[in-house]
This record gives sequence, structure tokens and C-alpha cells, in this order.
Amino acid sequence: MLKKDSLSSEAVKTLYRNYFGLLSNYVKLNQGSAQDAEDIFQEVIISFIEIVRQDKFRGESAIKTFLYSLNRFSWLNELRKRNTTLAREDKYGNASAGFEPDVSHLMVNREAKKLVTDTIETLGETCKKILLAFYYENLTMKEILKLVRFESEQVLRNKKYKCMKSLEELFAKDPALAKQFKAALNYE
Amino acid sequence: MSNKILKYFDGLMSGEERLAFEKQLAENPDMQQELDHFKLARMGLQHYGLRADISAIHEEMMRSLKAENAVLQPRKNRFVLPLFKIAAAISVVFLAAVLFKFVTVTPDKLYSRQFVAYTVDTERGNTSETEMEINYQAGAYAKVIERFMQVKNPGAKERFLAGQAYLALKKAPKAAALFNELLRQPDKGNPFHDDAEYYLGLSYLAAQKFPEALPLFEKIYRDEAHVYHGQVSLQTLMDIKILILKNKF
Repeated sequence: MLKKDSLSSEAVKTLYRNYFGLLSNYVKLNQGSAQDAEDIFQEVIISFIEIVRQDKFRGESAIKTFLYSLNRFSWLNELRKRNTTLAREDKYGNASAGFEPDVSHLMVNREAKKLVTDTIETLGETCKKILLAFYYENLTMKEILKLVRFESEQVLRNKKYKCMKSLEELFAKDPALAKQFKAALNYE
Repeated sequence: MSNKILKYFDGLMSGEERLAFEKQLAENPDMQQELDHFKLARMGLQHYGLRADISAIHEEMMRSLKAENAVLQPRKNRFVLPLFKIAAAISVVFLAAVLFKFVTVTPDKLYSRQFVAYTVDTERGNTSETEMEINYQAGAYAKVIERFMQVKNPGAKERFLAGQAYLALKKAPKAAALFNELLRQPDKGNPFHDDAEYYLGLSYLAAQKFPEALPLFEKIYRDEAHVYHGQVSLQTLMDIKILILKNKF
């Protein structure tokens, strides 16, 4: 269900119901606050959906184990960034270390993801609306035309091109930004 | 050219047009880079959209999970909390009662409560009243003692009445000595044995010798056949224990 382009909110809610308790406990047991646990879980869910959509999760491990590992690596990475001593590992972590899949390369890099959202934010409301409707919601130009005030589909098409081109130019001008986008969004 | 790349990227080219464009694309690294940038842009947009959707679901789920926890919490405590409250209330009441007892129990109050005025008992086989008895009944305790001192070989009755007189005159140690003498006599043939035990206990209370009084009252409390069994309750024993405790402070 998560593989589909349109998001199944029921599938996501099921992930919350089944795994939030376990995953948030890990963060809270390892120097994290309740808010940290919520934030990390949200990031883990976003990453998991993206990993599934990129066919990088093939079900070699159970969803629970995979999410747990993703959560664990992401939180430890976050802690390292906060320069917190990681001398103490919780019993959970130690116990599962031998069985969990190595997803360290997939771990959530919150800063890189924030850069992505910040960049999209620079587009402006209209551009954002058009591009999200087309590339995320998969609406047709005809459907998008109903959402924005443009004289014709052609005018809208031109506007969409300009919006997309403005993003493309950001990458052309700043290859480092393109690299960071790739690192944040490609789960290699 | 950019427009064409985007048209290709969006999948809007027909078969022939697409094939021709792909040929061109394969030979042009700049076009490939631009196409890569469009792909990155689309990925960024999809990430942005997904994040917005997940964020909305996240808020909803956090509210829902917290509400579930809040509902579960009182359920968990539905029985525990009242029990805890009841236990706490009982403890408070018990502590208050103990404190109240501790403060209000005094030797005088206990003695007054336990004291039973002794009246000369004609059923004990002595119908003709002696001078000591007459004086005792008249409350002339000094005369009872005076007469007792004159008797060369006092019997149980004389000792007992003298003991009662000493007790009435607040000379508890002397009363205790006489009651002890009485108790040293064998049970059989000593009609004053039970009286002597009880009044010895009272003498100790009056003399504030509570540790000595306690075993006597405990014995009477345990012995249902004792004449004074009905006079001694658990409260009597507890009060004596409190007085022992108070004397230690």
C-alpha cells in the first residue's frame, strides 16, 4: 500500500499504532525526550515510505526489525551530532545488535532533509502548489487549472515549466546543493 | 531545449519524438545533467509533499495515541487510586487515633477508669462484720490501718482490707505489698486471690509501675474465669502499654 504513489493514510496509521510505542521507547531509554522520540519516529516513517517506493526494502527483514534498526541508527546519529556521549548503550540495543539488518546507510539525516524542504519553500506559493499537484498528487493539468487562477492550460503549462526550471537552475548554479539533495533522497 | 527536456521528463512525448530525443540526449551531457536536475527537483517535491501528509497524520496519531493513553491511565488507576485513598485515609485515621491516645492517656485517667470500689462481701462466708469492715465501709481508712497494725496474726481479710485502705489513702506501694503478701498464699482457701490480683494491678497503676501492672492485667484478660475478667479489656492493656512507652520519653 505504501508503494503506491498516493499515500494510504490507513497504512501509515497502522505503522504508528504498531510501532510507535516500541520505537519511541528506544529513544526515550537512550537520553531522548518524548519530543525527540516523536520527531525521530516521524522521520523514520517518511524514510521508510521513500525506501519502499524506491524498491530498497524488499522484505528481507520484518518491517518491525527494519523500522527498529532505522530508528536506532537515526537516533544514534542524531545523538552523535548533539555531541552526547554514547558510552551507554541500552539493553535493547545490545540485545538486538547481532540480529538487526545494517541500515546505517539508510539512516535519517534530518539536516539534509531539512535542506530539501527549505529549498522547496523558496519556490513561492503558486509554484509550490502547481508542482506539488503535478509531481506529488499526480493531478492532470486540467485538474490543476481548477486549483489555480490561470487563463488557460497553456499558460499554466508555461508557469509550471518556469517553476521547474527555477529549481533546476538552483542545482545548476550550486552543484553542492544537488549533491546534498541526492544524498538526502537517494537511499543508496 | 529545456522545455523539450521537461516534456520528455513528464512523459509527454510520443513514441517517435521520444526516440529521437533520447538519441540526442545520449550525446549531450549538458542535457543529461539538466534532466538529472529535474529528477532531483521531482524527488524534492515528492519528499516535501510526503512530509506534509505524514506531518498531518503524525499530529492526528499523536493526539489519538495520547488520548488512548489518557483513557488507559485512569482505567489502570480506577481500582488502585481508590484503594490507595482508602488505605491512606485509614492510615491517617489510625495515626490520628494513636496520637490522640498517646496524648490523652494518663495514669490518673486509667486508674479512675479501672477502679472498682470494693464493698464488703457477705457472700464470702462472713456474715458478722468486724470492726475493720465497719470502719472500711464507713470510709475510715486510717482507722482500718490502725486496727490492722494491732492484729497480731492478720488473716487474708484483714490484709486485703488494709490493702484497700492504703490504696484509698493513695499509699499504693504499701497496698501493693499487702496484696503481694496475699497472693503468696495458696489459691485454695484464699477467697481474696482474684481481688488481690486485680487490686495489686491497680496499686501498680497508682504507683506508676506500669511494667509490673501489665502482666497482671494480661493474666486477668486471658482468664475468663477470673472474677475481674470483665473489667479488663484490650483497651486497658493498650493504655498500659502506651503509658510504658510514654514513661520512656
